[in-house]
Amino acid sequence: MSSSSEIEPDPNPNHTRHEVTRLLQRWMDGDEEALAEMTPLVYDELRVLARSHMRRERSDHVLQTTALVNEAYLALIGLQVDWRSRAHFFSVVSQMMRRVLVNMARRRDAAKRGGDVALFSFDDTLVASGPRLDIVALDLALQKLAEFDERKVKVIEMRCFGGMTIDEVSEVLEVSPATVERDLSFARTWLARHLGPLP
Amino acid sequence: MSAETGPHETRPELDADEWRRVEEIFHRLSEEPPARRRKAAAEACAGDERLLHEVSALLDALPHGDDLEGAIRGTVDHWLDGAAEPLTDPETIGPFRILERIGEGGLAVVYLAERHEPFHQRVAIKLLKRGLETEEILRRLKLEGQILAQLEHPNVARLLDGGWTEDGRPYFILEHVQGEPIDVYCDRRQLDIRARLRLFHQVCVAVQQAHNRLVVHRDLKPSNLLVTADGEPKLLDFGIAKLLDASRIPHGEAGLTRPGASWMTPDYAAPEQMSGGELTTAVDVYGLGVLLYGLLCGRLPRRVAGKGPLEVEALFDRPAKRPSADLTATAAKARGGSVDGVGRILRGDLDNLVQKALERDPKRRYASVQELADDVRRFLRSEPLLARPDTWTYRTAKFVRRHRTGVIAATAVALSLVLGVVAALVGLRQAQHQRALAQQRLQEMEAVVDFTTGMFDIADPGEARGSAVTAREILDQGAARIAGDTLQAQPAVSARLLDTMGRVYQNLGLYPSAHDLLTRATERWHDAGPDHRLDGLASRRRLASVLLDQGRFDAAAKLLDAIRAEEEELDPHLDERAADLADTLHLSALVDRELGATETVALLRGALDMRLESLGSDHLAVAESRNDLGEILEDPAAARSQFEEALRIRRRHLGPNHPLVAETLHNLATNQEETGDLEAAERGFREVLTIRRKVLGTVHRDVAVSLNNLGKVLHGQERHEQALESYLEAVEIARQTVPSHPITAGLLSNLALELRDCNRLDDAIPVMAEAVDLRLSLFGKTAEQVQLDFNYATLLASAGRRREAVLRLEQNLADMHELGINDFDRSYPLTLLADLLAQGGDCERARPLAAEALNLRRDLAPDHSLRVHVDEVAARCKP
Repeated sequence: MSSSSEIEPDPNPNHTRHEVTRLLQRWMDGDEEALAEMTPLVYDELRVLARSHMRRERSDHVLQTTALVNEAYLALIGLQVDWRSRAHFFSVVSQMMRRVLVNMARRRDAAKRGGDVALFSFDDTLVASGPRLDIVALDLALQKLAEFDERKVKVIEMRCFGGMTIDEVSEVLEVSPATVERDLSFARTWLARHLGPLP
Repeated sequence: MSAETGPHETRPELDADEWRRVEEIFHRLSEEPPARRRKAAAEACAGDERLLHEVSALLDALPHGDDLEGAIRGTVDHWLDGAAEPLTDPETIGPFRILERIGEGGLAVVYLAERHEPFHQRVAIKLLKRGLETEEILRRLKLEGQILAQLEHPNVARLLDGGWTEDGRPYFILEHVQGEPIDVYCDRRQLDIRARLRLFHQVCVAVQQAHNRLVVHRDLKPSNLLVTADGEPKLLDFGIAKLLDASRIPHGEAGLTRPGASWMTPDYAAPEQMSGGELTTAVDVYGLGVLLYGLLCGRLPRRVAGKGPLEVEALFDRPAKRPSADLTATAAKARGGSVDGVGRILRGDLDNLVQKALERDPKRRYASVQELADDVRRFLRSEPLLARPDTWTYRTAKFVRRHRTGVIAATAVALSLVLGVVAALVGLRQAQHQRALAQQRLQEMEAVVDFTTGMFDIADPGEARGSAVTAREILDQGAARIAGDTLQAQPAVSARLLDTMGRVYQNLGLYPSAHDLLTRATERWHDAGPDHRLDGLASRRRLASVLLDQGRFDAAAKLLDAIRAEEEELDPHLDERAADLADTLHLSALVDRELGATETVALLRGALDMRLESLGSDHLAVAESRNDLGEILEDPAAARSQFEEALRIRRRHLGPNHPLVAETLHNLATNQEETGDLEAAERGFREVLTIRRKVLGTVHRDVAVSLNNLGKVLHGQERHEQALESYLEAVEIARQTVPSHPITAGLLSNLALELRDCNRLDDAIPVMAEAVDLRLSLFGKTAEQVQLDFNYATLLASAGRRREAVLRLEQNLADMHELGINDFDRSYPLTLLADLLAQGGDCERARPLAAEALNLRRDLAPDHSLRVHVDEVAARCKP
């Protein structure tokens, strides 16, 4: 007989889904604790989804980020939650997405045993266009920005890591779309200054 | 490295105030024309050097901000986009030059490669895809290498070497086997049964050798068994093999920690692989059994096409088919004989041999591959076999596990999804006469298979949390992907998937999702053009049944009207479409019934007749008609015969443990209870209970309801102790599953009355109090509540708690008055109250109440209990 300790606990995804929906509601009702509780649940799901995304070979480059966030949403919340909760959920996912990708990049760097990484690098094995940022360096810069102004970091996360629209960001942060635009403009300029010019 | 405790910088950081000013100035200046900005900055900072420095730096960076945002987004997408997966294959790996890709799995790509120095050599190289260098996957590959390195056998493809590429990915260099899958090899050469058995015996020896090295292959199937031109079988792909831990093997049985269920090939997987049970070498015995079955008759022993998890369970409950009975003329010809000739060779010993390898219970299979191989050899030498015909005593034992894991449901649902869709398309293909159309369907089918297998990504144990992936997760993932863009170009494919998944959601009781998917399915059928009108109608009928399930009767009726209108428009090839029309008619009848129509019996009978004519008498649709008809027939005898026939059909098609079987059984038992056949009713309810426990687990609301039904019958037979037991368990379950539900209140009330009947009045009262409170909190004062209150009062009265009982009864009468409850019901509390008052000597109040009660019920026989009470009051209160 095998010992029962080797059988992994059986996480009930329906339970998780229900739990996330409930926490999301609590968070929207102003309970900041709920966000902390929800985070690990979302993070887990996203990690799974992000990995499976990386496994799929896609030739089309359309809105990868949005697709992934949508999937996480469907996996955790289901089909029928209103637009407002959707935006809030996306904001959580955006934040998580940053963590997932940074962790992946760290692991990758460690695997390469490269040690010091240039801030910007071209990955010339890729046909895809545009320069590639060092995601770990970006993360450090975002941590620094957060010391001054957390909201701006959130704007960057939601826009760039979560693929959210200005309106959605404005809904979550409860500021006007114009303010979101201004935050975005400042934050990206500040990041460009701290990360140096693109090659 | 965190910034919060960062090193002291040479220039002090800006404080919050300065930061706000910098931002404010930045926004002001960014609206200025670029040429003016520097000057304006100097003015705005008014001599504050630190501020000016910061603002100037930001202004310099301003033109790059937009690019930076684009770069972040690009990088994020790039990472998600399979990260650095190269679009081109490497030119060389180690000393080998890559010639071509010869295979690809989820984790790795396999290349054909060669080198010329020091000698010419062709090899297969298995290379991990990029972006997958996670610990879990690296561990897996290391294990595979370890396993292969241990195996040195002429019939196993050898591991030659391994290493790491420059970008840090592991690879294996494997012996390149040039050959064809074993089944293709045998068929193309028209090998006879004995030649096939000899080849199979060689395979067994190779697998046994692996087992001797404590390796279980777990994925034995023709595509992993190539036969070279010299007729040498070679075993490939230990990708999901497992090393058995030698220290943990008692008597050749070894436990494995992780099932890896989703890596296997479902048709060849042993039942314990599907259910996440303990995996031993018996898994390979089963896999070899499936392989041999195919070699003998060219088919699969257990087909799960179009079946849900329960049907798959039922399938495994039955013995595997016999190859001799599963032989077609084509297959016989490929074995160099006729159906009769080859059938004769297979019948008996070989049938028994294969069935023994394919036993559901690993312990009932051959104890080792060696034993299997020995029996094959015995057959070739015409010696008596170890395998014997099955005994029926064993068969009666059921193997339904109490704790089914998520994996079995997921696997089975997803399986039925793949196979069901494929089967539907294949069927379609056969029905279509036009070649071109058939071709198109075939492409659709391939797209569907690609898509559906893709859904298993999430079930990958390396990726999913733990090993439990539910059907729901796989479906949700699939639903999300259909919504994506991959299938936009093929509306018929996405429509069929949406329809199938909608049905699965409906079966799971997830009606809103089912509704959503089926709605989209009908839209996509519409996009697919006029060829798919009938498909579109089928999806819409399904949608109507979901609306019915949801209780949205008006919407269902409206949709059915539209469906009927469209059906009438269509070219009436009635004989082909009679079954469809019957479905619409049946649904319409059910909806009409809910909407209060009276002539639904005739409609349901009409649908039944159409189904009988077009589908024959032994069809699940006929069973549905009969079951639903039985529910509304007034004559109990007529209803019973409908239920009995429905039950027969459902059992035959679905096995003994299906929810639909339970549904009809329940109807039949209720019918028997009504007509006073309590013994038959008891048997029926007990069976329903057994099925529900198996299917739903022991703690489920419907199990509590079944226990309640059973309790009622037992109560009717005055078997109070047994009834009590039943109610106790029911309440226990209801408290856990539906603590605030009218069901629970009803159960508590029944339990209390049964406790009274078992002379446990003191226990009964608090239980009844709980029932009263619960129901009141749910619905407030209703007619049912008043009834319950009265029951409570009678218990109090029986227990001699007269004062409380009197208060309750007075309130009860007041409530009845308020609710306008009729005189008949009033007579009971009136009588009881009068009785209690009289016992307390309050004849003043008792007399008029007794008179009122008697007045309401003049028709009563002298020995009626009510009459007796009234008479007692009269006697006690004689002036």
